[in-house]
Amino acid sequence: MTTQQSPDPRTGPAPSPTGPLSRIDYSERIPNNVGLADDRRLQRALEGWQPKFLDWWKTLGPALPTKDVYLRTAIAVGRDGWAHFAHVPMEEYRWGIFLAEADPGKTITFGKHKGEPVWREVPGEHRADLLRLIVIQGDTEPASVEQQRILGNTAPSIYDLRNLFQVNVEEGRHLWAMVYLLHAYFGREGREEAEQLLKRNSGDLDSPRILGAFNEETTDWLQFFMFTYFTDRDGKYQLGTLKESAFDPLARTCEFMLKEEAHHMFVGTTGVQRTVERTAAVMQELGTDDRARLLRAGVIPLEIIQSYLNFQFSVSMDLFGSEQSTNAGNYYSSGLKGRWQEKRREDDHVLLDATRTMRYVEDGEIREKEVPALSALNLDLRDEYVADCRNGVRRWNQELEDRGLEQRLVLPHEGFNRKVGVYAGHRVSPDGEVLDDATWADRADEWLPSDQDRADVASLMVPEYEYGEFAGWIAPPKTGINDQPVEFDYVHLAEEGLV
Amino acid sequence: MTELSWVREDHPVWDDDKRRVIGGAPEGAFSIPFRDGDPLPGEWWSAREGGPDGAVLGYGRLDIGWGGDAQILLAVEPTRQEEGVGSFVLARLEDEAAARGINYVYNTIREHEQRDLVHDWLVVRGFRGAVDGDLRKRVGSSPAQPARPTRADAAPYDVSEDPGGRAPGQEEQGGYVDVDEHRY
Repeated sequence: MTTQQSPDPRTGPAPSPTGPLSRIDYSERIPNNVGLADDRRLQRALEGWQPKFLDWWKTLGPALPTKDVYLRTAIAVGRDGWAHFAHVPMEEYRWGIFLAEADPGKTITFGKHKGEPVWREVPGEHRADLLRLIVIQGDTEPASVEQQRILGNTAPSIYDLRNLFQVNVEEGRHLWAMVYLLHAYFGREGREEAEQLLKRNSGDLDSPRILGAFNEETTDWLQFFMFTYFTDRDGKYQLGTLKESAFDPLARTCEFMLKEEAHHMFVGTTGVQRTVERTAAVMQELGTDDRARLLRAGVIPLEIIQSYLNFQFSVSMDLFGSEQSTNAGNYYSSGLKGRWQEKRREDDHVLLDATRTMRYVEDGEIREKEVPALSALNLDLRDEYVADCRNGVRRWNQELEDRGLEQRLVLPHEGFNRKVGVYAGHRVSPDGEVLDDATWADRADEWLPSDQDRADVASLMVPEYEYGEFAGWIAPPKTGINDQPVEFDYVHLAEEGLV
Repeated sequence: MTELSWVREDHPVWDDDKRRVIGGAPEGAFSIPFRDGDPLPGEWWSAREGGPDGAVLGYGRLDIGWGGDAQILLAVEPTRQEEGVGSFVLARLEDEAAARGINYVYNTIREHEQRDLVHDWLVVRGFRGAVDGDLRKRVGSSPAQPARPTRADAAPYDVSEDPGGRAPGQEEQGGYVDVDEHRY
């Protein structure tokens, strides 16, 4: 067995890749690698849900009419050759159910059940908690499709439009993944919750999506890129904890979802990077960082990009919940949710005696105290997330450095603009200074996107549907998708879409 | 109804008042693995008789997990039940959750002698759930309405005039994405 050296000093080496390719059966009405044909009752239940999903997709999926899109479809779950690219009418996309390979000798790696065989069925005492975790994960998937449904109308290029649709169809597939677990393992309650996943809708006043951040319409592409970078990244980390779960079907589902999630991160990372690249080019050309001049030149000023970054980072930090949580500790001890890269952590994986440092606000100052590690697992995950976020910002700043510019983008302080946890109720500046309410009120518009900022960005959001052409505010990518050229016909719009 | 004050605890710990109020609940209603002085996770408030220094009649706690999946805990002094304290605590907890942008709160009812009573009390107050002991209620306010896009004149960008673009386009290549190392 070979191992890879971890780049992160907090963790040990990566385990070796395992598992052969597991082909997916596309002859079935619902493509799957879970042997659905052998369980007629489950198959019928899911085939009953399928038309409701398709109705939801037609009603609340992408609004821009298309003939077909160059999409990636999973064909196997192994390490190589897992995806196939082809032009597909989106409503005919083969959403299916794919779990990563099973490991017959797999054992639980953390908590009080450490060393015991993983669970193939739901233990009765954890039924309610597992059902809730799966429902919340499932609720985010269609929510982001609903949030992004009008974005196609202002796509900066056909290349970007294809990437948006790829994200959308894969969020739809992730919904299928959760619905399979609900139907297969939670009986009547699971079927009811699966129905509710299509009945709650993003932004609906009476029946909104569960998570607050998934109820705001995504109206411009900078917000979309920031969302896919910061908020989808929260999803990556949540999937990473569920991938460690003692409930093996959930762990294997999330493991494969993480593979698809990589594309969503890619869209966010490179989307913001290309935006910064174009802005930096015009700043260099004009020799100015003046907001009005840059807007007139058709690019997004860095101060607006920074304010979007500040907003999306801070609301995504809230998604991790309170720093200290009894439930998070209970989930861990019970084996329901692990830590990020649990197997690589070099500790006892039980944490009953471990402590860690936590920052908090007292008497107008940010202080530190020691808390039980088991109570602070939300913070543990959030710290991993923040370290990851810094990588993207570093990459974006490379564009500025390459142009010889002094300006830099920065991640705001963890206490900035927070509604949840120890910083809730306190006013903290992006550089970590605790402020009074009046100072905050004076400067909030400087740090967060104002109505004017959003309107200025929106004014640049003109669609560009010519192959190989890009809107003026964003640089083209260096290469295309799946070795295709940048000017490839990634999307064929329907005639009404072109109008 | 008794006039009540809602008081936030900045540094919640397990103490005499909590033992009296929470510890007075039927056996099994709460899991209480704490000793005196132990710090308590989550956000805590007390419902106090009269002003903020009055006697504690109830407690409320929000434990906010992933994405605002917020569990509530509420307890009322056993000798002061059916005086509206529980409704007061629940309403304040819902307000606190809504102020944090949370759309739903939930309560998990453990097995104990008054389980059905607690279940019905929550159902009457709008809680519902597919699983009998796990109830959820909508509490959030309307989401913010972001600016709508408007059209303006911006020149299309010609890719052929900027061949030096650094951004990658290769999915899962070029160092941007390493799925197995979770770097992307």
